[in-house]
Order: sequence, then structure tokens, then C-alpha cells
Amino acid sequence: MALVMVGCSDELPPPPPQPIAFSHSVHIENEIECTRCHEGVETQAQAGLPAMAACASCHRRQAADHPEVVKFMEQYANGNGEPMVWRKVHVIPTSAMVHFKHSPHVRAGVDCATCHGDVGSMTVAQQVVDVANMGWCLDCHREQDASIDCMTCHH
Amino acid sequence: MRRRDFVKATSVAAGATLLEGCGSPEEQFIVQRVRQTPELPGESGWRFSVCRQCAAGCGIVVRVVDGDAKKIEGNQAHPVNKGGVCALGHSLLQELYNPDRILQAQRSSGNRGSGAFEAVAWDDAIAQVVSAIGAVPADRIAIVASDRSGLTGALWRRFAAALGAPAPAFLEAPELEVERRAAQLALGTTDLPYFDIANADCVLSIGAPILDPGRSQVHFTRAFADMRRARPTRRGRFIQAEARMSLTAANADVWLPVRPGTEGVLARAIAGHILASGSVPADAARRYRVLFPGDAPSTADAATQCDVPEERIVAVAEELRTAERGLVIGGGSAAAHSNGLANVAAALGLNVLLGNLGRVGGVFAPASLGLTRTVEPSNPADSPIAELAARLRGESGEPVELLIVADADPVHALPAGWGIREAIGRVQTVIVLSSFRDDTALQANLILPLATELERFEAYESPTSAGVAALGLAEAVVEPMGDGQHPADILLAVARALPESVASRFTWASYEALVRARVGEDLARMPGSAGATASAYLSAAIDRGGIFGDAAAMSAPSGPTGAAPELPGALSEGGPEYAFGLLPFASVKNGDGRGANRPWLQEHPDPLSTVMWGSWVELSPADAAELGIHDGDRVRVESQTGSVETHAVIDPAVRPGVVSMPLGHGYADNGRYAQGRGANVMALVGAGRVDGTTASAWAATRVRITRVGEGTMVRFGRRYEGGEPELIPVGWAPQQTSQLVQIRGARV
Amino acid sequence: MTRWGMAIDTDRCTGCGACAVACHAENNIQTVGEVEAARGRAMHWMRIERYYEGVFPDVKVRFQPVLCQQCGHAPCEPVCPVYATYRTPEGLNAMVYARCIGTRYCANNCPYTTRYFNWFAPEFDAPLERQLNPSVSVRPAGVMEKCTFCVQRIQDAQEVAAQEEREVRDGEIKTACSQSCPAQAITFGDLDDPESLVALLARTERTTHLLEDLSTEPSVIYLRGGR
Repeated sequence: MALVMVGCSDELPPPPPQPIAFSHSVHIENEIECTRCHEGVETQAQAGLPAMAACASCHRRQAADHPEVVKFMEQYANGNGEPMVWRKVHVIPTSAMVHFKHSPHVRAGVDCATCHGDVGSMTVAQQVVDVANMGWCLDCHREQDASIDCMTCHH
Repeated sequence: MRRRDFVKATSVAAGATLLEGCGSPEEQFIVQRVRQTPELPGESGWRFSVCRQCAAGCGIVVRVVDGDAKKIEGNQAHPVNKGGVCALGHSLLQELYNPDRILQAQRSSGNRGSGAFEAVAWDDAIAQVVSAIGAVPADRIAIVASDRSGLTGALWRRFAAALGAPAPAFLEAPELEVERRAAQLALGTTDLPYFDIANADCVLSIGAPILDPGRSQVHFTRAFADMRRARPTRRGRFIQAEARMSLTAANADVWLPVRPGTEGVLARAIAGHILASGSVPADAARRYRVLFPGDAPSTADAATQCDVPEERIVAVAEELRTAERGLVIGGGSAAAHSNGLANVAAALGLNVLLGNLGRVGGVFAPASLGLTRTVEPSNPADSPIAELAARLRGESGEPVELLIVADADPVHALPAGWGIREAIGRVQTVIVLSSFRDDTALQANLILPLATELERFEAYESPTSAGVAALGLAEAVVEPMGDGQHPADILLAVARALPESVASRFTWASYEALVRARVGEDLARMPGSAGATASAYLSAAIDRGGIFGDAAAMSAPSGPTGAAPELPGALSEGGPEYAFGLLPFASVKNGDGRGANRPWLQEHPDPLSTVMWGSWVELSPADAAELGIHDGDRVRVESQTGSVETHAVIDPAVRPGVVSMPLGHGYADNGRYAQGRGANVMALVGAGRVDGTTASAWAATRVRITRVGEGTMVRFGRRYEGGEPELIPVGWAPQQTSQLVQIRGARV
Repeated sequence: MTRWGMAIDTDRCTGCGACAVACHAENNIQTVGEVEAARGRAMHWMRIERYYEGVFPDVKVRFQPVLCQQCGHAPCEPVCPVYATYRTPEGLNAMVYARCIGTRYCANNCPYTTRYFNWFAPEFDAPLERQLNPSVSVRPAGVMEKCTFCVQRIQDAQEVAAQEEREVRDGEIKTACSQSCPAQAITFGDLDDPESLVALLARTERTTHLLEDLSTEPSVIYLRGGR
């Protein structure tokens, strides 16, 4: 697990600006499972995000007076159907031409935190591991006896 | 700035809309208000739809990711295509996402035909159609539509009848009137019969380009391949009698390059040979004589007329006679001469002699669900498109003051000899339903865009190519890109806004409502409907992509109904100074022209000439040598009707004295990929018609060819440089050097 | 072990070219336009070669779909100075775009000329880019590309099978060309599975390989026609 700490977080990009100041830690404290919102992470390439309606269904009552929730509900109610654009925190550059799939990693028992850090304790999600560093991927793939064939990821 | 402050600052800045536009698309995660699709973000969904890129109507499955259509595949359950898709079908995605697609209604903003248009609100456009209809006497309206045999066609007939206007004319691609008339005479079917090619042992095709695009390329290709290889014990044989080396002829075991217009003589001589053999049952012979009471020409006569050695004709006749399941089909260029009806009737009539009516590997009556039954007027006679052309030219009937063209491009597709291009300019008001500025839309006062089949509810019954009734049925699979709608929905919107006398006859809220109502009314007649409610039946049908008939319901055609015209010699247009017979054809590159605005198809090499990005004329090496024309040269092709410039392809498989050019090139606009590229072969075709029908004799024009100068032509393959082409057995590619030249086109 | 292979029945193939367009759609292959196509820069991972035999009127036409033969002993591999192309454990001739530095040695050494070089950055006139397959990289200028046997489809099927805790079934993976083929001339599968359809076809007496004498050990098998 020492591998996880390649480079210190100061060298990593800062968390990107997001439409609202969403706090992972508050949601985890309220015992909401990662997969409740990041649907599909067990079966799909992408870990999804819920539609705004899913957020709204809880936040009509929960923390309805929190300024960020108010901001969100305002957009949900009066946004003319405009989508919300979040920015990905963990981005593998397109130039790497990598097709990462979440599902095989989850199946192999890789904990979310291995790549994403302890998001549950973060108020703002930020990169703690340089996911664009192929050496870091390969170290784990070698350790786990997973494929190290280039074409597994690069195609 | 500290990280936390930065976040704070941006959240405030973003406050109003929460829409933060920065970051490349790959770095974004777009969250919709409510989930738009049953799939998760990034997950692939597969939706059934119906391909409408040609008249065949294949069932397709569309891969949709995050609301965008990504890939077209074939619906394995659809009896027309059984999972296959053709080149044109794939390129439907490049129609959907075409950069030059018309997404909003447009009205002409300058001189008509100048190409100047301005956007107009959809409701205003519909209102403009309504007022245009109100402004002219009903008998001065003309309607050109597509989907002749389907529900949309039926609606146009109903619409014309309700207005009191002349019946609509239908533009078919390809025109099949001659084939239908011949089938009625020779086989007694009301529509095109079904040919069970897959189960035949020996198929003689007289002119019918079944493996080329047009009638149902995917269906026939599968049937052809199954005929050849699906049975372990025997391999079916295919014989093509056609003047041109088409894609179909290229796949034949035997090619008979008959002189154009003599196809019927060949068929009659083969019939004579089979009759003389004494192996035909008396009843079959008697029925055949209903069709052709006279004596057949001898094989020796036929050899002279067709310019094919007699022993070959005899060999084909023998092969057909002795085959356990010999089958004969006809059409294509054989139908497009003045004597086309006789040619095709002679071809189809052979099936009577061979005992093929209703036999496995033989000919079957057409199948249909009959949904148009109560939609169209009780006597649904159409205006022949030739008659409409005469009206437009002011030569017969009522003059045309309002022309409505729905999902068709008559200016491009009809022979120049019919004068539509000139005549349309004199029509007061032209309203066109089209998604591109094709040659007809360019002449419009008002363009109403269409939705692609992927953006609309679609129901399309395939004409008879599958043997069983097949109605493709599908919901929209992606959100519409613009205001465009199904032509039937545009018709219904207009009809509803017309006076009560018309509106009251169009009570369906939408095309979808009409389809659901019709299936519901006729539920008992629908295949597999026993015990189902209409809504459950329809949901199940939509879940598998359509309503498909049962092969057990296939029935035999009744047989000859009357005498076919005797075989006159084919007449052609153009005197002796026009040395070549011109055969227009549909290439997989463009189809009838729909593919011209799609980069995949423009860059797709034609299978025989290997030309990309343009049009060409195919010449035999002997003729080219005599005219001093080299491969790739610019040449002028002239007929009595018109003149075009294109590139010469010298091809060793071309019959001397014949030249051919692909359809669907030479658009004045039609989008950036099509604009000004190549030449339209129909600009050369004269006004001649097939005797006894109203169809164009599009293969009867003669042309002359002159060299203009050197040219550059984009080809994928190697040019022919004389002598005998290399013999390259399968499994043994040519030497590397020549292969490189061939592939890289380095000599172009 | 798995060794992916393909059998193409040339007696079924009619040369219609649907496979080639299906390949463009599936694999985000750019079109280069008229001028560059004239310079031989059009990219067709799958192409139909047309051969004539004889002179009129006894001309015979043969069509042969040609794609990367995924050689067992590939001439393109040893000449790559950066190991951007190599043989995978499942018998694919891999092309790693991110590694390619564009020497084009591989293309020069491919006897089948099935490797294509990106001379330009791909351009898709908006909104054509909405069609792009998210499972396949869009290759930038300066790299080589070629048929991958639709590796993204292979991986997707393997992933589904793994989630369902089973092996990939024969016929479950269809390359884009094979799915599309109206004549069902193209069969894809595991040559090392003796029960697979492709292995069955490979054992028939109609089997042949392209440029067999070069000993490239292609994974693409052609079934000779009957004409």
C-alpha cells in the first residue's frame, strides 16, 4: 500500500472548480454508499453520477436550508432543463488513449480509495494519486498478476 | 490563491446557472436534470429501428451512448435483412449528424433556385403550406411522394383525394413499374413476387441487379450466399445476363453480356429450347402459351441478336432445365428499354415452364399486412410520374401552380428528357420536404425538414422482398436534432389546419397514432396476434423491431393472365453519331444519390471501378483506344438530351459499344461533401418510355464520348494498362510491388 | 489459450463493401478527403480488393476483403524501434498508438499493406463527432493505425462473461465487419477452441491464407471460392 503514496499531493493538480461545493464527507457520514450515486461502477466502464432529480429527491427535505443545497435546488427547479456540468477529478489525458474500465477493478476487489484516496474524509474531492502515471498502474497490475499487455488499456 | 479560496471564488462565479463551461469534454461529467435514458452515463443502449435509406426497409439496431447514436447494426429477427446492414445503411449516422443538414424550416429569400434561404418558424411554415393550398384551385396542385406501397403513401393518396387534387405521383428508386406489370402478366401477382433464391440450385437473372443497391441488396445478398454455401451437399449456381458487368454480374458463375435490349430474345430462346426438350408438363406448357402464344426464336437467332455464342445459350438453358430447382428473375436494365415489358415478362415466364409457382426455391405471391386498406381511397390509382412531368411542362392536363414534393428529389432523379428541371421553375409555388438542399429543394419556395428514422416513430412495411410480410416498427432512438418530422406527421399537421372538409378526414393525432389504430383495427389479421390485446401486441412488436409474417402463409402466384407484348427490337434515342449505349447504374458508393453527402461513402471505393470521391464513365479498352482516351482522362459524354463531363475508367469487363455511369452524383448543392462533385448521369437520359407502361426507358439513351484532356481521378485500385489482366487465384495475392501500386493508388 | 482468428468465405462475399463502412463507423477511422485520397492516404482498415481474370467476354471477377492478417509471425513487429506493435497473448497484432513515433517502418514491412498512417490530425465536421465510438481512441496525427480485430468488442464481451462468471461463448464476439456482412461471409472466433465455428472452417479443404509462402502465419483464413 506504500505504492499509493507515490508523490505527495502537492504535486498533483488542484481540485477542479465544481458547480457547487459538494462535500463527499457529509454524505459518507450519513452512511450513503459510494455506489448509490456512482451507479454502474460494478458493471460499467464509467462510475456514473445520478441525475439531478435523484439529488433533489433527498434534498427536498434533507439540509434544505444549506446554502449549497439551496443553490442546487434553485438550478433544479428553474434551470430550464439545463444540465449541470461537473468536472472530473481523476482524468487520464486523452493523449494516452487509455480505455479504463471501473468494473474489472471493482470485481478484483480494488478498494475505491486505492485510486481515489479517502474521499469519505474529503470535503472536496481531489486527486491523491497520480492516475495518469502508467508506472503506478503497472506496479499494481504486476502485484495482482493482472494483464500488463499494452492493448488491455491502450487501444 | 489557495485552493480553498479558488473553489469558493468559482462557486460564486458559477452561481447563477451552475453551468461551468471550462474544461474539455473529456474532463466533464454532464448531469442531466432527470435521467434521459434507461442506461447509465457512458453505458451502451441498443434500440431497434427501421432503416429508410432505400425502399427495402431493413430492421436495424442502433447503439446509443449518452443520447448519441454511435453505430448501426442489423436486427437478426427482421426477415428482410436477418442481421445484415449495407454500406448505405451504416452511413445513416452521417445523415443524422450531417453538418449541412437542414434543421429548421426555410423559405427562399432570393430568386428561387439561387440557393438563398432564410429560417422560418415551424408553425409559420405549416401555415404557409396551408395558405398555399388554399390559394390555388385543387386541380392545379401536384404531389410527388415516396413510400408508394406504405402507409405514408396511402396518406398522400388520401390527402390528394380530400383536397380534390389529382392523385399523387410516386417516385420510386429504383422504378419498378415495368417489373410489376410484367409480374402481373407472367405470374398473375398484383405486386412484385418473391423469389426464393436461397433455396434454388440454379438462378438465371436476366438483367436484375439483385446484388447491387436498389431493391433489397442485403436480403438478396444473404439469399445469394445461402444459395451458394448454406447447404453442405450442393452449391447453387448463378447466371447473370446483363450488358453491364454489375456487382451482380461480377458474382455470377456465368456472365452473358448480352447486347442491351435483347434480354427478352434470350429468355424466349431459352424457353423454346426447354419446350422442345419435351420435359415440360403439358399443363405448364399450356399456361406458358397464354403468355407467349407465338413460336420462340431459335437459339441460333438469339445468338445473333444477343451477340452471345449459341452454345452458351444452350448450355444455360440446359443447366436451368436439368436443375432440380432452377429459378429465373428479371428486371434492371432489361426492363428499361422500349421493349422492357416484353423482356421481363419473357424472363419471368420461364418460371411457369420450370414449375416454380409456389415451390421451394421458386416464386411466391407477395405478402402484405394490408394496413393501407382503409387509409387510402378505395380506388388508389396514382398519377404516373411521367404524366406529372407532362403536366409540369404544360403539355397535358391542368397546369401546376402548387407542387408539393415529399421526401423525393425528382429534379435529380428523373431523366433530363422529361424536362422537370426547366418546368419546375415555372411553377408558382414549390414546397419540398427534405433535409438537404438537393436539386429539388434548391428550387423550393419553402423547405420543411424531415427527421431521420432515428429521430421519429417509424413504421415501414417492406415491399415484397422478404417473402413474408414485414412491418418494421420502432420508437425514436435519439432526440431530434432539429424541427424535422416524419413526412406523414407533416402531412397530418397541414391537413388538420385545412378546412373542415379536409381536416375531418385526418383525425389521427400523429403517424404513430395512425399506425397503432390500424394495427388495432386489424388485430385479428396480424400474425401471432391470437389472444393478445392491441396494446400488448404492439409493445411486443416494438420490442422486437416489428411485425413479421409467418413463412407458412406463403402462397403460390396464379400464373399468366394474358399475352405479353411480342418482342419488338429495342428503340434507342440517338442517331448513328451516338456510338454508345448508356447504362446508368446504382453503385454502393451513393445508391440513388442519398449517399452523396456522406464522407464515408464518398471515400468508399466503388467495388468494380475503385473510384472514390466522384463520378466516372466506364469504357471498354477497345473503344477507349479508338477514341484515344486514357484511364483517368476527362471526357465529355453527350446525348441528344444533354452533355456532362466526367472521368474515364478503362475497364476490361466492359462490353464494347456500351458505357455506364453511376447515379447520384453532380449535385448543385446537397451539402459540402456532394456539392459540385461528379456529374449526374440522368442529365443525359432522354424522354423515352417503356412501351405499354409509363416508366422511363432509362437504358435506351445513346451517347458519344470525346476526350477533353488529362484529368486526375481518385482511385483505390490500380488502373488497367492493357493486355490480359493478371490471373490471381484466390489465396495468392500479387507480388508486393504491384500490390503497393494497387493499394496506394500511387499512379493516380 | 485463446487465439483470435477470422475466416472469410470468398464464395459468399459479393464485394458489397458494407464491412468497410461498418469498420469506419466502429473504429473512428477518419476520412481524408479527395485530395489526400488521391495521394493514397485514404484509410481503409478493411478494404475489398477486386481482381479481373481473362478478357471480355470471358472476364471473371474476384473480390477479396483484406484487413490486417494479425500474423503469428508478423513482419511489422520486429522493425518497430519503440515496440509500439507486438503480438498479444491472445494472438492479436497490437498497435499501441500512444507509443508510436511514426517511423512508418511497420507499414513498409507489411506485405499486405494493411497499415495506415495518420498524416493529419483527424477532423470531423461538427456535429459528425457525435457519432464517434467512445470505446475506441481517435488517433492523432503521426501515428500508425490498422485493424484491431475490434479489440474493444473482444474486451467488452470478456468483461460481460467475467461478470456472469463464465467463459466467452463462440459467436458471442462479432467484429463490426462480421456483424454487418449481409452475406455472412466473415466468421470471427477462437482458433484454439477446436469446437469454434472459425476453427471448424479453418479445417476445411477450402482453407487458404494470403501470401502463404511468406510464413507470416496469418490469423485470417480465406475460404476459396467455387467459381
